Amino acid sequence: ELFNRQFVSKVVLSRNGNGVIGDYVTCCVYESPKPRINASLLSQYISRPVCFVGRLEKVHPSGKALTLSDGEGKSASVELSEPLDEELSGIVEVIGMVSNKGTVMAVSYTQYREDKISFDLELYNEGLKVLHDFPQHYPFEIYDFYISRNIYI
Amino acid sequence: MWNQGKYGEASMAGYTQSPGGFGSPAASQGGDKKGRTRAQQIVPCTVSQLMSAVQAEDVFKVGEVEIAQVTIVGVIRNTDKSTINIQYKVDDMTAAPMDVKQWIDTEDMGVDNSVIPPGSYVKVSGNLRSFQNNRSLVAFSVRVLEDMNEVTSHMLEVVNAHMQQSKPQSMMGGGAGTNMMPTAQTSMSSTGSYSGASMMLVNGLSANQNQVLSLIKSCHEPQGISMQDLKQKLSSMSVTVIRYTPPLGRVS
Repeated sequence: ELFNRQFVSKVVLSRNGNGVIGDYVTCCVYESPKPRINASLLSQYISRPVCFVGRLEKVHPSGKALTLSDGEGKSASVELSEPLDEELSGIVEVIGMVSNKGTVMAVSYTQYREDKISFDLELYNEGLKVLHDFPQHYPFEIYDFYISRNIYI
Repeated sequence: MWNQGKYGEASMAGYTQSPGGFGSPAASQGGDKKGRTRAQQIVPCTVSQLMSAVQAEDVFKVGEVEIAQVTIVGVIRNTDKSTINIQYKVDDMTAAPMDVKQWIDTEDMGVDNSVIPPGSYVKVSGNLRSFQNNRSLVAFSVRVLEDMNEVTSHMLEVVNAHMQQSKPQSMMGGGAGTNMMPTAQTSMSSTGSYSGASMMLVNGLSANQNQVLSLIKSCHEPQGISMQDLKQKLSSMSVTVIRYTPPLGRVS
């Protein structure tokens, strides 16, 4: 299994994409489509890269695990390969692979700024539903019309 | 109002108010030498749509939508500044980060030419370019998002823009109405699944039949869509099923 826990744990957490990137999984996630999902969809995206946006509820004392809640109030567990080196709060977006336990193995995170205007997470969740209802108008994939199959860059 | 059946004519759906900075659509004069109206709007897109866009001569099309000036919203992953331009890689989660090039105006000291740091969410407005099979955006505006709700609004604007300019048959009523309820294009249960497994009948046709119908309708060639193409696009359906589709009286 290519994305087993042991392999993913070697991924270096790179906050802004300028950290050490040498690992296959990290490159794979950055260069892949990363469908935006909420907690209810986690089980449908096991072993796939995703983008998860949620409110920070808890940071594990080790600093290597987070709990985020989505716009429906449901929780998701996020695991980091290295402990957090800063204070995080509010709305956090993580990208990473979904483990077979349904946790997001994060390769990167971005905090959504709310210094001027707060982020409406419930509305974002409604937006997610629209994206998933109309994949033909918001594709998380590239369609090569000449080859007539989906390709990933 | 809707010109049906004219291949390549960009429908001027025209967005009304929008904070996304759309220009007002130019009137369709039809004076273009090819009988085609060049798109004048700025179209919100995803990177995946830009990468998938079909290029015919100097025109890009995403499905029905002709695109030239576009907006994307994403996070900066990489920056590279030279004396004449700034290059960014912008990731909107739909594909690999897109190359965005912003020319530096060396004359105009009033313009802020400082590089936006990686990790920042931005809205990029620019023109799609293709060079040696490499797609990129030449940006005339790269603006840091101060309101992250623009991420959500861009998602909705993209779907809205591309849905409005889909086949007219999918609209209930014309004009700039925001219509989020599709008619019988594809089968859609309330959970949004698209596979042909649903037994639900929409417009008197099953899910499989609706898929075949929508593919036939989406083909613009006067001779119609070939069996070969249909088979290829509906790889999950056996040829028998496609052939067996009862007469689809409404295919125009």
